[in-house]
Amino acid sequence: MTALLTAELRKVTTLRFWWALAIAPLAVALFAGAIFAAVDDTLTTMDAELTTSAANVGLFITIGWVALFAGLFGAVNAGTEFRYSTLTPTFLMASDRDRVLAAKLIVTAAFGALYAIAAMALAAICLTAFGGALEFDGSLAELFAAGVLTSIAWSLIGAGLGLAFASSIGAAIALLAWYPVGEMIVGAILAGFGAGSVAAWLPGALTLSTVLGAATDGLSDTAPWPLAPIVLLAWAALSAGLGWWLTRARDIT
Amino acid sequence: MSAGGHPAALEAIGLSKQFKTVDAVSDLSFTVPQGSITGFLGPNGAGKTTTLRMLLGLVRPTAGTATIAGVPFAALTQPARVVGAVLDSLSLHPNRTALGHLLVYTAATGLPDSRARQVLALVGLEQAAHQKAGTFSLGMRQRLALATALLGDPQMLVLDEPANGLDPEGIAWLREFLKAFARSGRTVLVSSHILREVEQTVDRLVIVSEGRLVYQGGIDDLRRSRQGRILIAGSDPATLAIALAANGITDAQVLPDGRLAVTGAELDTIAAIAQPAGVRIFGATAEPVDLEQVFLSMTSGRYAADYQPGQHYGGPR
Repeated sequence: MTALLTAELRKVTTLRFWWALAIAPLAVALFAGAIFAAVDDTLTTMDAELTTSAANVGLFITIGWVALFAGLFGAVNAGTEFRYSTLTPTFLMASDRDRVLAAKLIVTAAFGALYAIAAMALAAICLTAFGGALEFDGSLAELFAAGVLTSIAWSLIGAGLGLAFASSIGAAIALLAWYPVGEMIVGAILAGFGAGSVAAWLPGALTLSTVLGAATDGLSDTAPWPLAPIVLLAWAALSAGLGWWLTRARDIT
Repeated sequence: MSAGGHPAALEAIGLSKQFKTVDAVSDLSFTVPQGSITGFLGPNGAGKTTTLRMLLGLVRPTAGTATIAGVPFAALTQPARVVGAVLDSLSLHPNRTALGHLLVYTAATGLPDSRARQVLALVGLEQAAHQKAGTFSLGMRQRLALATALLGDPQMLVLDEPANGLDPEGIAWLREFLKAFARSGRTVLVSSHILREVEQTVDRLVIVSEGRLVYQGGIDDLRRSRQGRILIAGSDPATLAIALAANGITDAQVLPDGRLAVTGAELDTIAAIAQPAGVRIFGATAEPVDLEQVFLSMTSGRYAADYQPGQHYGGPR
């Protein structure tokens, strides 16, 4: 298994997309950190309660972008195997497809975690450097953990879509359509059918409630804290499982 | 089934593959004996690629089984050490360097990284180790794909149309390479849609047409099974043809250069018939069998037989 993990890791590091895709969330982390440090600075004079939240908003925005780009990373990392048929020699050299796919998903999740850690660390540094009152306590650690968890979940959702569609472009388009807009539209349609509460259990909403739940006591109309991350991970398992199941039986032509 | 008592390196037993409504391969059985260079011949669309991918466990057969070294591909614990394959896709990411590409697969198979350099040298690409595969010519990509197949020092090689995109120099290089590979007792299965490409390399042939087996056996056996023509330069070809026909040798044809091409008779027999008929023979040349013609006649049936007058093939009605 170590051999396959090394192979999957090298598949990523011998290409450039892993750091190219990290540029956007890191840039967001930089600006969100700087901007909300300034906002935080202004608010300090008004209300002490609000300041922590303002500093946290910088991290929320960062996590939101990290999740999307971790998803895109997963989509590209899985889909590119089909685009250039590089899955063929992998399956020829390791006849157990399950182990290959497991290694790919593990490496994808590791990069999802890496994206979140790098971006949130950068955002936290910027927040502090520009005068934000970020409290390095247990709740910040929880927020970091929530960020890492959501990023891993989205990297697996992306990888699952990449495997299921056998295409990085298709999976990336699906993510880009769903994450910022699609889920809202689906939520509105669900609400039209009187099932608006279901929208809180869609992956985008769950990401929000996971992150907010870690930072606050939760908000109304969102999934409650311990359930939110669990159901988000269930979405990740569903997507990754679907991609896995389709790929293990697929004819590689 | 196996030739010369050698065990089968690769074997297809009743392989069939249906893609939606298309029968790509139908009940195909053949054997590739160990130590042979077997040509896998058939026109484009005959099901060669699908068959090779079924042998390699990449495509699941609708029916039948395929074995490598006696077991299905999925049962091989270290497949890279048993079989290497160069398939039509070549499977190279254009933005990965040649060395980077190979290092992915040395890792996957647990081989030392130094092996990547070795196989690059083996195929003559050591100068291009740090170039991206996307900048390579098709011939170089073929070589890199071959280097990948050779990483595990496999006992057999499966090559799908390797001559595609190779220049004559590359084809000659590949021919020598495969012969050397087989001389060490290892096995090669190489597909092509042109017999001439592999005629000088292979010792056995498996010929398929429309997903079905039409011939398998030694290339010399195929050559022997078809008689060559004898070209007779004589004083009166027409008279000779009549005399031959009277003696039951009916396949004689006057060529544009005035010679008579006779099939199915030895020169001695022809001479014995010519003398009483008053035809003098100035010279005779034995024309070897054109295997390409034999191959085409075996596989082109579908073009000749499918057409029936009055039948419409698409188009407006």
